[in-house]
Formats: sequence, C-alpha cells, structure tokens
Amino acid sequence: MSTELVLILGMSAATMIPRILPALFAGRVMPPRKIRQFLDAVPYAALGALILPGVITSDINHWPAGLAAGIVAVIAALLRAPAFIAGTASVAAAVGVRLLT
Amino acid sequence: MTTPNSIDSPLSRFLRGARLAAPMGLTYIPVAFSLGLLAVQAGLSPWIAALMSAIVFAGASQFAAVAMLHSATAPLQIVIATLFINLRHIVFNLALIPKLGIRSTVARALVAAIMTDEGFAFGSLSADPGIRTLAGMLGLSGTLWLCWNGGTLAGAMLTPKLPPMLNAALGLMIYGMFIGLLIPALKKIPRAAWISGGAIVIHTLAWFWLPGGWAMVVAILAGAAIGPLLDIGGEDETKPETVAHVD
Repeated sequence: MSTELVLILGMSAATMIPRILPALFAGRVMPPRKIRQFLDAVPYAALGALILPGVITSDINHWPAGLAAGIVAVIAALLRAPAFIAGTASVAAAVGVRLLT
Repeated sequence: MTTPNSIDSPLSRFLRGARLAAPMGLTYIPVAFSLGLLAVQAGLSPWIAALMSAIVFAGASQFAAVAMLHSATAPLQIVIATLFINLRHIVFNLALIPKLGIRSTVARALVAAIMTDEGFAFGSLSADPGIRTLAGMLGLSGTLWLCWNGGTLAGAMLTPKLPPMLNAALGLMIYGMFIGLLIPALKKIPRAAWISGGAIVIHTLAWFWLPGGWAMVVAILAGAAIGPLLDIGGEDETKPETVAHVD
C-alpha cells in the first residue's frame, strides 16, 4: 500500500472515530439535567467559536474584507434575511472591500 | 383532506434537508475545487485527492493536511493533527444525534460519519424540526457530501484556477451563513448570547497560544458550560417547558 493511501486511511480514522463513537451511545440513557443543559448549549458555543476569530483570520492578509463580511452578515441577519442571503451579502461585501483597498 | 403524515413523509424531509443544504453546497464547490488543485500540487495523485474528500469529508483537516504535505510533514503528524482538529465532533454528535430519534445503530453511524460543522449547525438550529430526523439529515449532509466530492474531483482533474480574490471571498460565505443562522436562534433565546459570546472570547484568547484544533475544542467546552450556569435549556423533550423565564 502506498504511503499516500495509508495517510488518507489514517486521516479517515482520525475523523470518523470522533464522529461515530459518540453517536453509538448518545441519548441511549437520559443524562442528568445539568449535562442536558450543557449539550443544549453546544450549538450556541460552537457557532460562536466557528464564527470568531475565523471570519477575521481566514484570510489574515485581507482582514478588513473579513471584518466587512462579518458586519454585513450581522446586519442582514438582524433584518431577518435567510442564512443564504446573509452569506451572499457577506461575500459581496468582501469583494467590495477588496476592490476598494 | 391532507393529513400531517402525507405532507411530512421521509421523502419530503429528505428534500427539505437537501434544499436547506443546497446554497451551502454550491459554495463548497469552488472551495473543494481549490482543495483538489492544491492536493495535486502537493504531490497527491488525483484519485487519492478524491478519495480523501470521500472518506475524510472534513474541510479544515483536509486543507491542513495539504499544507502539511507541502512542507513535507510526516504522515503520522498529519493524522494526529487531523484528530485534534476533529475532536469537536465528539461534542457535536453527543448533542445532536439524540435529537434525531434514530434507533438503528447503522443509521446513527451513517448520519454521524457525514456530519460536518455545517450539517451540525443547520441540523441543530433549523426552524424546521423535520430536518432533525434520519431523512432530513441524510438530505442535508448527503447534498453537502456530493458537492464537496464533485468539487474536489473537478479540481484534481482540471487545472484552471479561480481568481484568488474571488476564492478568498467565497471562503467567507460560510461565516456569513453561520451568522445568519446564529442570530435568529439568539433572538428566540436571548440569554444564549452569553454562551456564544463566552465561546467567542475564549476562542479568541486561546487562538493566540493553542494550536487551532485545541483552541476550538476548549472554546466550545467552556462556552457550553455557561448553559448549566445560567440554567438555560435541558428540557426533557417529552415534558412541557420547565425553564423559568426571569427576563
């Protein structure tokens, strides 16, 4: 087997074990209330952590474009735009800032 | 007369999942395309690059792997980095899988195997509860998987290139969509803003002195710990609302 193939299989295992293992037993028993509150909070924590600082650092050399994209998405979302529109608006804002700077 | 059952069939839920994922999936294509290109430039054969997207299906770790291959990192180190980057999926799937009502172990494993950040975010926070089912999640994640793999294959096989500026701007799409998803959810439960805000502060601080995957894991764990502190959520879904709203 080539080194490349071993690498890809290893990466697959390193991705699939954290994904599948918890799924096999999650929710089979009712965890205590504090644990349920913790798990319910995960999406809010994860979304926060996924958005920042990533939106600024994803293209660190052009961080103003990322900042503009984030601000425009917040405004769009506050105006009740669907997620797809907020995303499109943020890309347009980033392109705009890149063209101006 | 239509019954709720005839409208809410598994096929309908699958299609609603696919429709929810379609715009996100479209933005995957150019990103995956550049991944395929970079992977081949880093020395992987096109079919290995395509196989990586099929059986790893994790954007951040795949880009990290390609960057490490470029700087001639040892395979074992790449695999360890992949594991750290993906540790957050343990908490994601512990949180979401029980909400899907899937009994079959094989079906649970399948949904879990193709769960991405985007699949988790849309699956958890969609206003449509039909997404939080086996059919809904297969439609959602399956669409993302097809787009990711189609894009990688095209990038690995072809050579043309998008202008780097457009590529970078498209990379921001995901953040705009995450914001567009989080803000309506926070409007419903304003106190959950403490959880998101806490995770942002912790991630930003941790980002300076921890490797990327670790900073993310620490921020999610610490941010989610704010939930029990504020006594938000945790309802037994078979019972009526039990949380006292004090604000």
